[in-house]
Amino acid sequence: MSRRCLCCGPIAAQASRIDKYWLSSEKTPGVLAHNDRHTMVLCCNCLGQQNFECAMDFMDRVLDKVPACVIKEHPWVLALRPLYNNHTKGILPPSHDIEVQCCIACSLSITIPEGVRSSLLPIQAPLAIVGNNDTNISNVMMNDDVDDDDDDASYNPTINELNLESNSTNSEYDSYNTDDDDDADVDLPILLPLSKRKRAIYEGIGRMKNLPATEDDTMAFLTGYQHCATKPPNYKHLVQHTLQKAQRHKKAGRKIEYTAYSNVYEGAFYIPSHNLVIGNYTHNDRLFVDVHGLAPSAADGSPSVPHMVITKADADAVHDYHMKYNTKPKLIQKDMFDIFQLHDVPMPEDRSITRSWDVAHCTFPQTTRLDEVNKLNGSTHVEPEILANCLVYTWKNVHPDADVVLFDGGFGLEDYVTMKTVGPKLLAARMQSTLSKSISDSDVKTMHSNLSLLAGRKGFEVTRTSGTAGFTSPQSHADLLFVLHDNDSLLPNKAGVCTSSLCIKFLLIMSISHNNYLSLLCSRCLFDNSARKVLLPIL
Amino acid sequence: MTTYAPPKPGGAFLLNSNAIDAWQVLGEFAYIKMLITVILDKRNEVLQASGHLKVGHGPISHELRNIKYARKFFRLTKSLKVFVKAFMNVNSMSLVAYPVGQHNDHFNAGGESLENKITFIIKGVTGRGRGGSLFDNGYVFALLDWQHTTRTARKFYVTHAQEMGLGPIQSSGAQRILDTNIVDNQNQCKHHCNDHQLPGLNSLKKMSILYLWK
Repeated sequence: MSRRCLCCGPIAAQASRIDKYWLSSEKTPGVLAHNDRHTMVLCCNCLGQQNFECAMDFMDRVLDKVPACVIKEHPWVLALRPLYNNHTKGILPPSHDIEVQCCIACSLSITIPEGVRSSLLPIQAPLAIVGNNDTNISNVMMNDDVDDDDDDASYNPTINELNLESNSTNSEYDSYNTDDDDDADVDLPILLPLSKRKRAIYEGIGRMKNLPATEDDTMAFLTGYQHCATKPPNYKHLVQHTLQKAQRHKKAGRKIEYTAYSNVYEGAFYIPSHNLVIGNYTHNDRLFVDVHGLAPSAADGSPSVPHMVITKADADAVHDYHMKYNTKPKLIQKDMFDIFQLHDVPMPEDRSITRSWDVAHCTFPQTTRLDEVNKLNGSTHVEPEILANCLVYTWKNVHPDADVVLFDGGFGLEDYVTMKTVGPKLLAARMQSTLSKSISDSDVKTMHSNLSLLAGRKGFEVTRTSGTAGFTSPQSHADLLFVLHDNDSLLPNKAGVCTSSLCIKFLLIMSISHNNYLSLLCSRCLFDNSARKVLLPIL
Repeated sequence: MTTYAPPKPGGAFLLNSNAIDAWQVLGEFAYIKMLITVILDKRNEVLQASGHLKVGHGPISHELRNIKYARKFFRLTKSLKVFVKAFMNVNSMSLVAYPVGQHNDHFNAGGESLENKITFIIKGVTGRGRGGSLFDNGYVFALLDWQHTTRTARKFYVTHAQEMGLGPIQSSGAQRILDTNIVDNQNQCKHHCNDHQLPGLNSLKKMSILYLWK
């Protein structure tokens, strides 16, 4: 039986290069299969094997390119470092195989406990855009809506199924000499047809990038802003009315949409340096828009203000806190606002047209120094005691008389910032309602499904390392494997063997091009639904 | 070596401004950002007149520059749709469908911008998304936008810089052209708006209409 190296063995062959690989392997069979006289590094976790020379080559490049602090605790590096030191001194490798707890291919997945699955869902085919003449999207959906199960089946085949398919249906590799005895145990890569789901997604992306324009001036209604007020709706009435209606429906045995209003903290915009929580009370029939100016400014020298969104878990915790101590959220009272009328404000499109706006304004003093707050960047958790002491602006205390509410924040605790030179920061400006009062649920759904295609890296944000995505965790590792599985282009096309190292806010994937052969993350992933597609080419 | 943050649903994208034909709310969303910008600018005037320091002077001035740029198209076409589309072309968007962790905002190359945000709710979908619905069900996602000169707009200016009388083509200086020359030429443009005597202005009008209405 041949011994296959993760780096240069046949299981590492890149799909697009397989033709060249097999041709060349006939000429140089030593590349194809390492015989018993080579020292191998054996992985106890995924049973992968790596030629000792390949391992030393990888180690050489990792130590050269990657900061020492990043890999100081990497298990594979720690295990092989003494051997590497000997190798650099010209000492021959041991004659027996070397066992390591995890190899370069599974160092990420070994950190994921059993049972932890990705929390992400694959991006779906887009819904039809209403009002757009292009109906291709709806055609795709209508044709494919029953294919989800089939799609998944072809997308996640078992190894046995793959082998069966390779023998029977895949004509792509008919020319390969699979009868060769030396290669009889080599699994051929399978090229599955592009799934319908993915084809619909690609078509949707192309469509969104080339949307046709209409002749109508669909934005003419915006002239209404020249005179209309944007005061907030009566949320208390809305909530009361909706919940009463839901109760009536419940009594009548009808399906109900709502049972209660949400926790005011959930999804709220939290500014820790000013102990301020600006609530988010989303409802498609009551839209509002926020504008923030929290980035550092070179113009006035003001620093950036850290901020975050409160999770449901934290919102529930602070709710429990209030229940336990019989307290209530500290709502910003109406008299804390300074309300005034701004006259002669020009309209954006034409300075000669002006109008007046009713503006409510409140400046919040700084409660915590920014350097102390910044230490917690990346955190998604806030202690309930802290949140319970924050001032809250939400639908319960929305200012009824203002078109726009402005929240400013001072920098009274900063040594280097003097109020004489640096003005307050615009924490938030809220346009309390919009001219188009509502948007239909179906429109929102359609918009989300189509915009998701364009967002990030095929629907997933993977490159924000400032702390927005939180800290790494076993869950995030599983999510990353899922995204790598779903996205063909996240790793370099010619990525060689990979290993990973953890930082607090992000993961470093170290990949090195290795003779145009590809070995990817984890062979264990074959069995736990992660990174399967990544591995398909190298099966 | 590649760096990946914990993956989350959503991400940044450049939106084709024709999307406002399908979803008018996106156009209104951009327009409200302009409205708030002019309101904040007016408030700063009032604050300055009363001896107070301005609030958010840096990002507001950057946004005003974009508004002035879009206003030029409105002056030529008298179309609010073209006006909004022109403004959207210098903005990038983000879809956020998760509660973001604590962070500081930074814009490319130390740029300054106001960040615009609107949230929507999808009913009947598993999960909470970003969170923050008025009632106890639904998946919430947010759309944000900030200043960003799109590749399309940049390409347009690079390609037509000479025709528009903006000086030599500078592939790397498109942002500067957009930020300075266009705005600086505004008075000139305003002065000659009716007689169409400037070849650059004619070209700008022609190109802008073709570009934005196509």
